[in-house]
Amino acid sequence: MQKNERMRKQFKDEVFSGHIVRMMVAPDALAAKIAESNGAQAVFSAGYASSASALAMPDREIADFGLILERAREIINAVNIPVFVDADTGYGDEQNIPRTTQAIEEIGAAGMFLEDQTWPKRCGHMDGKTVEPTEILEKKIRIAKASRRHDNFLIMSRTDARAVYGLSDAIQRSRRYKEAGADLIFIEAPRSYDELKEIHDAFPTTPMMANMIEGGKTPLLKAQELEKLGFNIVVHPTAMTYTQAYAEEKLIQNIQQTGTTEGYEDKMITFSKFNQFVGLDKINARDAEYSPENMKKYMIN
Amino acid sequence: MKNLMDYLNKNQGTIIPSAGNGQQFNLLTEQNFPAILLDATLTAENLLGENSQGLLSLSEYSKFERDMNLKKKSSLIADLQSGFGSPLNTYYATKELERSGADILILNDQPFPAHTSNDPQSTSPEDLLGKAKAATDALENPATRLWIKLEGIQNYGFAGIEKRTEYLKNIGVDAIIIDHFQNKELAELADQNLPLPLLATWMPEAPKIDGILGWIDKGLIAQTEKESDLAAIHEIKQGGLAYAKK
Repeated sequence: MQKNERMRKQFKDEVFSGHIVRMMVAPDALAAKIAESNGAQAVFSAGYASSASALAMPDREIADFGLILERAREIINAVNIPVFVDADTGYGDEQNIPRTTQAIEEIGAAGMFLEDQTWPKRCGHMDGKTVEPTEILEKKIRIAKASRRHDNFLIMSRTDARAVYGLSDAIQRSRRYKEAGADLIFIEAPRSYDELKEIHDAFPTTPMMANMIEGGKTPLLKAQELEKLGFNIVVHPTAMTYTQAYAEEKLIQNIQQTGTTEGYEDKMITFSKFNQFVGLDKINARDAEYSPENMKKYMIN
Repeated sequence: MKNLMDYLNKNQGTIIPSAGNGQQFNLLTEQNFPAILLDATLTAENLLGENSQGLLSLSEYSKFERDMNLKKKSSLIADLQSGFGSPLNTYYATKELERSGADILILNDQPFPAHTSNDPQSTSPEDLLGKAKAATDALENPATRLWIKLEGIQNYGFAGIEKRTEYLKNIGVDAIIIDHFQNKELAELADQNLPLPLLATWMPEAPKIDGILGWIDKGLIAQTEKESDLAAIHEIKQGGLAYAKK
């Protein structure tokens, strides 16, 4: 089985296993590789982190489809765990959905979500959100399902209606998205443990995702607690971005103060460990394998 | 097209067309050709306005390939050029082009960077074999094929073609394509029992030669488009001149 199909199947199996999948949002390929090597089961290539990493800008849909797709592709190619992709509102109207879906599927993603915010959208935990009428995302989901080329490529619906019309409306919308074909459900920004419980109770048999954003509107629960509540995926959307920004800020402040990185090495990975981590030895070995001397053995009639 | 080689064996002499832009690719797709080559020279002209394949980087080419992959209905042949660098680069370029939708890859035997030329340079057998081995090692799908375009018959002659083909067979390459040949040379090559299936590049004046499994178009559609573009430009200029005269 080739990588793309293997990743789709692995993600689907994990999501439907009854255990929670721990999914890290990675801002770039290096972060994804770090997540993978430290036990993350899946990686999420998402708009907030990609926008921050590629543009140093907030998640206000300034990072376009081409940029998001390319970032997701780099991440997918760097790891051997499933990668889920944030398709925002589909990057346009219903005419965009087939290309958006197929392009994300073809780069090897395990799935993607589509959401019902009004374009241009913003991070789900920011204020000032508005949502489209339910029919819009229903239609987009139907088109996405009809456009996908592999049944194991999972489509998740995301609603941001909790912030606009309340939880009951968000649950109602999600029911319609499920009927339209959503394989997975995500209700963004519930505000309490009870709301998380109510969400799961509304969809006892459909895999659900919980979004644990530091400083956001949802209380931070442990993966084990979310699993007990019945959630199937927990995603940490900003932790790697914030940690990276924090560490780099501290480093630069230190350099500005001391004029050197000496004495700061204990907060860094070492030269040799980093080279090992990114596979320098393996690449050097491969390079040597194709040397002119090694090709002589094929130069026989 | 699950197995283009089977198709060519049953339909010897098939011409595989080349495309360098989305419109050409769509038109060819609608005509149910068994395969389409996404030619690097034509793509460089389309994306960069340059008539040299060597100016086109792997990332520029593979992005275009992924766009065309969404439109394909038959085999997509990707142009690996001369591997986009060293054998190590060839390894990663092969992965990139296969993941971007290639069913068949064509590696040529120019040194890097490859040039669009009627008289190209030839790289050493060792460099070619290193790149061919790297490419075969990089392939993920057992159904993906590697063809080698031998462009140097004017440099290394018949003997060179024979040797390179033998060596490439030892590596596990699937077929060779001969380019920059004289018709007589190609006919003689087709008569020989080369150890790999033989294809050749095609232009409208190409002769019919038995023993050539398939022909790879060098860009007839693009050339024809250029001629009609020039005619249209001429007409626009004439219209503008006539208006100015008024």
